[in-house]
Amino acid sequence: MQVSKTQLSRRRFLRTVMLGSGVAVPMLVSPRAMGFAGLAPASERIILGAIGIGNRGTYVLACFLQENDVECVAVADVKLFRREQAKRMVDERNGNTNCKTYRDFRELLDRPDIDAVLIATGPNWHWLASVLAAKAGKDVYCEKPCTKNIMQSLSLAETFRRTGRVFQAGTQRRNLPHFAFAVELAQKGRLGKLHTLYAHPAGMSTSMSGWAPPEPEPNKEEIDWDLYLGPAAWRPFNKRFLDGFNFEKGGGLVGGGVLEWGSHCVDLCQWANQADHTAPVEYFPPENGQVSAVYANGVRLILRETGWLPLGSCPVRFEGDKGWVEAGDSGKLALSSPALLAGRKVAEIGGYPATFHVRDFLDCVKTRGKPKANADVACHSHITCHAVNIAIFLNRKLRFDPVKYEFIGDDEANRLRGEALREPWRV
Amino acid sequence: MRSLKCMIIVLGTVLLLTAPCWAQQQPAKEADLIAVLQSDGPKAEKALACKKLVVWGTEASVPALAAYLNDPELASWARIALEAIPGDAPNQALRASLGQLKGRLLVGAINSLGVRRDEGAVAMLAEKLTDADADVAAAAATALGHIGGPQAVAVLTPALNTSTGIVKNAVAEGLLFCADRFLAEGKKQEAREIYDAVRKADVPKPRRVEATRGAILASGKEGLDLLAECLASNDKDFFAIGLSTARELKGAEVSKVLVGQLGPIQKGEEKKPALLTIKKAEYGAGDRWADVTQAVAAAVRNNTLRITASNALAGDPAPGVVKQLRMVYAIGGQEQTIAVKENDSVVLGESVAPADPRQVAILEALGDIGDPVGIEAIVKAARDGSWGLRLAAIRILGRVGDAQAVPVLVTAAAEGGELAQAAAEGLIQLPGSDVDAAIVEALRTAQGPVRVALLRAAGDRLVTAALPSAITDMDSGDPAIRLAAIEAVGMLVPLEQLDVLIRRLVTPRTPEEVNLVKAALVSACSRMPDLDAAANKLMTAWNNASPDARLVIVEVLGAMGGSRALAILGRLGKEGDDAVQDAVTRVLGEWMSADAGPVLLDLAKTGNPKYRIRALRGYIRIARQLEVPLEDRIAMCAQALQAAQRPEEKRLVLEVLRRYPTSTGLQLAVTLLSDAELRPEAADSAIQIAEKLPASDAATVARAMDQVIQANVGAELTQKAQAIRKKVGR
Repeated sequence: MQVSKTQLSRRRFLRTVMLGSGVAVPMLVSPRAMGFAGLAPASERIILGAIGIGNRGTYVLACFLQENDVECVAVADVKLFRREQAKRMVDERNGNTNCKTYRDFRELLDRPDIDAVLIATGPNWHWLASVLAAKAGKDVYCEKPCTKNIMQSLSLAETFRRTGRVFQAGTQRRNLPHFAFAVELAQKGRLGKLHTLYAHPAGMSTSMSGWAPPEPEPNKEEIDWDLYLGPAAWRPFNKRFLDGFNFEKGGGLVGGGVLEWGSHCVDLCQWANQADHTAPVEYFPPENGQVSAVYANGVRLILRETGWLPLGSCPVRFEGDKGWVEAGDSGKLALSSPALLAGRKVAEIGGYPATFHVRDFLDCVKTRGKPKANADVACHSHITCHAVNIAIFLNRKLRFDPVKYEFIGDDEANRLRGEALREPWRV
Repeated sequence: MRSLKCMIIVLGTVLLLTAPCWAQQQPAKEADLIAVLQSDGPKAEKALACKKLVVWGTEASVPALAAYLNDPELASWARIALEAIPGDAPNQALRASLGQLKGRLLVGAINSLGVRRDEGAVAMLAEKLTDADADVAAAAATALGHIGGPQAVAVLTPALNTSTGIVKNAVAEGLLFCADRFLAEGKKQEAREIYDAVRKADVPKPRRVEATRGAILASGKEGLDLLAECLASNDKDFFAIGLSTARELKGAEVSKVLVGQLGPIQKGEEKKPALLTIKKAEYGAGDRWADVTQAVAAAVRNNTLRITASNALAGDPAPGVVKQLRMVYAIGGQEQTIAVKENDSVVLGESVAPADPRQVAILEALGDIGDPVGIEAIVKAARDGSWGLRLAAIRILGRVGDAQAVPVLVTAAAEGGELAQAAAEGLIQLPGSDVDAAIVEALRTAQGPVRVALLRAAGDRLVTAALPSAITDMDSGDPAIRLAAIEAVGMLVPLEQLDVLIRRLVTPRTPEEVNLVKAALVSACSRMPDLDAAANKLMTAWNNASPDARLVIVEVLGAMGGSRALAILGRLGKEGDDAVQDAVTRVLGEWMSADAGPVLLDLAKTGNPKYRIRALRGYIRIARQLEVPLEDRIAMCAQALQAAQRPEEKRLVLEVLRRYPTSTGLQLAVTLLSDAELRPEAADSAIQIAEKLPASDAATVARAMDQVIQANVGAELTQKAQAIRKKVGR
């Protein structure tokens, strides 16, 4: 599903295929024509910088580059080969060699011409890079999971409130029509009184952070290990940790799997329960392969690995006393009764593309509106995931105050709400 | 130490320190963890001890942790615990370290004091504000900001004028943190003084922007002037903070300020564009096409479509094949078609001068606030603005409008292009029963495209009062109205009037109607409270239906579900003609509940031989994918194996058995060892199942592995079976 460089380069050069009669001429065009030459006027362009462009970042950046009002001018990555690879991709689209590269993303953030940044580093950096970008006056599209703990989640929301910048978490399912329709059924009472929400966490017991034997540290220009570690506690260089994707996900000691897909699926459940600005008040330890939590309105959230209909990855299921709906990445819905569809045509967009989500972000950059997965929304869905992780870790029932954002009567749980940043990083 | 030891995994020469013992965490003994820190052990173990002390450490751990504050490799780990442990001991240790540390390590200790909000550290941090190391001074300023309170403000305020560079920036930010806390505590005056000081200071623009937001929030009604100043600013950052702050404040007064900054709304001298409308778009190849009309239509911007034919549109509907995006569209009313090969891009339409982005942004903010003052302004823009502004306003109205928006939307719905599409969507989305009434009222007189939009809105909104109009419109002379009416009837018709659609199925006015009538029947029948009654009613048309109409009935029965529909399909699967049996086995193969199992099994055993394999595969699909108790699932596998004639279906059964490992399933798998063609897969499956079974199944596993060992399935599988056999003993 990713738009690879080779796919892009196969596109044919400008050619006219059909002449209209007195109407505009439709054209099949090359990426170059769709790119710089086809860009919107400068006054309408959003100037983009891309930070941390690995596998996922390449895909999301390609989604940005499809939009003719985006001009990417800079990429930053601690890995030399990645920043060069990303530069080639951007230059090819722009039809020039102007894209600047940076090892240290702070130099990119210092550029006053950049309006917005795509952050697709490993999860270790997501929150801190987002906050630093907002403080530098940039709007931010950030991949998920966006935070490593509860305090970072709150800081994310507070920072974007204070700075007035636009934030979109990379939870693109918020902008896919079948998931949105499932949520609409739940919110509008079409399922009756909502009682249970199911989310697929993609693993409830994994963590990839750690400490491995030292290996010779590469040249800083090739791989900047110190900057790669960033806010994570120090450990010697070992290439096993360089995948970024899993490094320090969820904060190392507490986290991992629940955050990986929970940031999508739990997020959709929160949306269905109209709980975008709160979190469950009770969390229960794992039992029979499931972890559950209960919202103040009595609705139960269940994270489970199995028991799903064959609707593709990242499924959710919403149950009310009159019906249920289940949706997954195939783009399809399963309903307790086809009557719930009521003749509606819900577009089946499989493969969870980020294109619509990216467009939502870009529109909001222009209008200063709130994207579907804005910082407040992301803050609370991530808090729910972190609280679930803490319940798993401590293996006991926890009660949570979603106003004070504290566990009630559990000092040990509260100690896990945040984690010190490695020096010199701070916010 | 038990839980600590279980966290240290030796993988060859690699020592990975991770946390694999989830959900079995035992509280670590603090003394053991302290002993690790005080030992000569590996740093990896010490790092993990620090992490565990986050949860189980007390003041007793502080000296051992503080000993690492000057260790460049472990200081960050030690501070993780020191920031979490309650009490004053960590504060004292961190304060004590300030005189001994330098550079980054000193910055780290300062940061931790800030996170802990240690008021006792204010004086020491104040001294650091003038440290020669700018990083240290900046860290001190940030920490003071986090600590907050009058003391911190007193030391930070003078530094706002005396500091430079990154320190000045940090001082400004520290003061803003203090002000935010004052504001949260209701101390508006104290907060406002700080905000005003920062926004007027020579500090980086982002800080002045943040201070401006704070000043507006802290100033009550007086802040509205500052808000208006921001909204009038030519600086995009101050304009942006004005909009986001307005959203925070909400209310009529704020909306009035926004409206005041909206500027004149007028059409201007714009040329009327040849509007682009996407009628239909599909992506795929061969017989596998995904309807991407909505996605493509949504990509039209400013009357122009720029799109690449790629899987980003709809996933991959035809894997391994070069696909196409084929579209039917109209420009200026002239209908055209185009096919775009996968990875090619297309540009359609001519762009229109866009709306003033500032006006659009203000309208968006008014929409989000939702005050009547703002809604009125949005309605005016939707009615009287330029083409671009109307489009933006109509999209906002769809989200936040009310009944007063209906006439504006109805007018726009007749105009074609994005405007009409946005208006049609708005008519569907507008909340409120008064909107329903307005739609019914408008249907009394509306004609042409407006009527089409109203019918669609009535259907989607389930406005049953519009049903008589829709039924009448099923015979309209205007094909577009006729088709929209059929869709609407599908969504609105009750059981008693279902005949309206059934008759149309039997005698369609045009061949193009058939698919639409089918969709309407699916919509109607599946919505009925009594599904069985709907199925019976549908079958009253069977005798008079054409062969094609009968196939539609089968598909409707398949889509609507229910026990009566299932029973009818089971009968038609045997008694229908070849085409009907073909259709029945197809729809049963996609049935979404397990009750179709017995019907499919019967068809697989005794149905038309031509469709037995399809029926059996549908049966196995249920065993593999749908919600079925485990015992029943394995019993289904046994039934499927009995019915299967070909190795292909037996392989599918083995896959189910592997997916749901049970001792009964294991016994089933080994029965296939006698089949020479399937023997290796049966053995492999048996081994995979055996590996997952609990010790309580040891006897069954032992017998099964003996059979695998004796089945002569090659060295590798035999060795695996022997290993399992040895493990289970007996």
